[in-house]
Amino acid sequence: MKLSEIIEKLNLDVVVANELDDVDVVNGYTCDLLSEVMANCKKGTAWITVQSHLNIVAVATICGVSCIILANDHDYPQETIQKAEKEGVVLLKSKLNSYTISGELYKLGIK
Amino acid sequence: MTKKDETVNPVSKDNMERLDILIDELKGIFSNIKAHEIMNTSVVVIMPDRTLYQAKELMRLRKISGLPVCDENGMLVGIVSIEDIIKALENNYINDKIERWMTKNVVWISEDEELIDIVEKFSRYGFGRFPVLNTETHRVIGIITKADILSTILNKLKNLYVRDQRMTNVLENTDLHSISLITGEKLDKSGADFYFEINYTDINMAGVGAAKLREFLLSKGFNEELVRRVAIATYEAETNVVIHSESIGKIYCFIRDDFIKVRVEDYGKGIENLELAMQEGFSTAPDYIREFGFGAGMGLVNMKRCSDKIVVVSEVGKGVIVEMLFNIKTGREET
Amino acid sequence: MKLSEIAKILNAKILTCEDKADEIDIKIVGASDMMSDVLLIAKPGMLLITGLNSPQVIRTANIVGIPAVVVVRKNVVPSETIEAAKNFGIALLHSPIPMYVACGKLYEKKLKDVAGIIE
Repeated sequence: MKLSEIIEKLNLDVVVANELDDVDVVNGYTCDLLSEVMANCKKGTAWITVQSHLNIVAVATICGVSCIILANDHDYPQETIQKAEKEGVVLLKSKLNSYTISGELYKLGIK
Repeated sequence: MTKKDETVNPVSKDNMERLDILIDELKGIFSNIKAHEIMNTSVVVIMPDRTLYQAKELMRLRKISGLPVCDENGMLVGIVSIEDIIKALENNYINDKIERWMTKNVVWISEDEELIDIVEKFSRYGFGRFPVLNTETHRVIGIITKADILSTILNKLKNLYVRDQRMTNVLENTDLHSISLITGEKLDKSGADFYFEINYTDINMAGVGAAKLREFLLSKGFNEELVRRVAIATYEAETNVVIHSESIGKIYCFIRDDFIKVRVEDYGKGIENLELAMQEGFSTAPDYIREFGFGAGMGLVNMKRCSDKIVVVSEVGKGVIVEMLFNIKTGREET
Repeated sequence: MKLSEIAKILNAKILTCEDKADEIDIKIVGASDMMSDVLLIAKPGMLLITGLNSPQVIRTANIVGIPAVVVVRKNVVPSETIEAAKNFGIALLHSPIPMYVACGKLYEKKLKDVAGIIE
């Protein structure tokens, strides 16, 4: 499924966009521990988390995740946003919590 | 000099006998320790098609020195260590896939293997770590380093000591309420209604004080919602001491007619920028702490949310004092 | 939903309080790996899904009145954690599936989150 479709269906706020490329999202992963994400995330993953720390951008780049979805209406710190812009990592956010975002995405058929 | 003279010959016959008893006791404690009691269970594994660079980042985040490599089905296919990473950096192949450079003949330990055999494996192979496999499924369930062996032994020794200490304490104290039967710590009664000393050396102990305070307040008949607020705020303050202070900390709780006051203090390195620290999402916690599920930068936010009044005082190098007030609105429940 | 039913859906092993699995009725679910976040979102009676397997998880659950915890992602749950759960009378479940999948499966069965939002 295209990222744009997910953004629309889950009503996500776009904090850092990637306008050049509407990437595919092939699976979902919910996790707040960076090392677990690093070990288990695949290319094309939508990563759902409450972590907004700068390090998430590096992890996302290394693993090739399609987007980060920040839950619970948390805000990304400025430094995270700047790094994501530089690295081309898509940052999204939602008022909903990790459980519901995961559930909604799973319902869309993203496994 | 006289004192010294008395201890010149400590190995008298009497002492020899005591030593034998001690050795027997120790044998009983250290034999039968199996791999599953020693291993670190929060083990991360990595897949062979990932890069050495990813392995390096993972090791850095977790502060570990080696990673088991498992295929899609969770079967152990290799191991990659910090030595492999160093070689890769030196020879410029850090972006190669792990499978190309990992050690493929992995020596592993089964969960039922005994301490003595494990120690033997360490000296025979000279490796820094061994993955532990489930006997039936052959999946990786843990990892053992020399440090894990050491800490298991130290813990067993500590248990011995605590057991004896606690017994004497309980025997000497007729009032059981002044001493915790679980951990044996003293509850200071002078002034404060509740007192707890925070063990800052073990991240695994974070939250014990808050749990005890919760129990204590419930036993005093306060309603659950109020106790919950106090417990959450105290938990966060306690965790902060363990993660950041590098010093011991103390929790005091005072019960007054219309409020509960909790004061958490430490004598550690203090907070450099208090304003920044109060911001949501800001955290100076090191990466590996974050991997334990702490340091999300929500601690002070949670404390503010749960308390009716909060004051944080800090001086760099001298410590932090957090004082929180919780209004007793509905009063104590009738019991 | 009964905890025993949740265990079936997640293919989880019940490690403590198995005798209460038919009594504990779960209405809301939360998922997180960060202790502060759990403290922030938790409501009494909530089922917690977490990827942490340390005894702190149990202590945190106890503080906010969480009756049941499912440890996901990890292959093992250490004995200290099981002990802590026994001591506090918290039901502890274990399923090595990813958190995302656990959330998806329970959400599919119409279990609500803490805000009660579900379509």
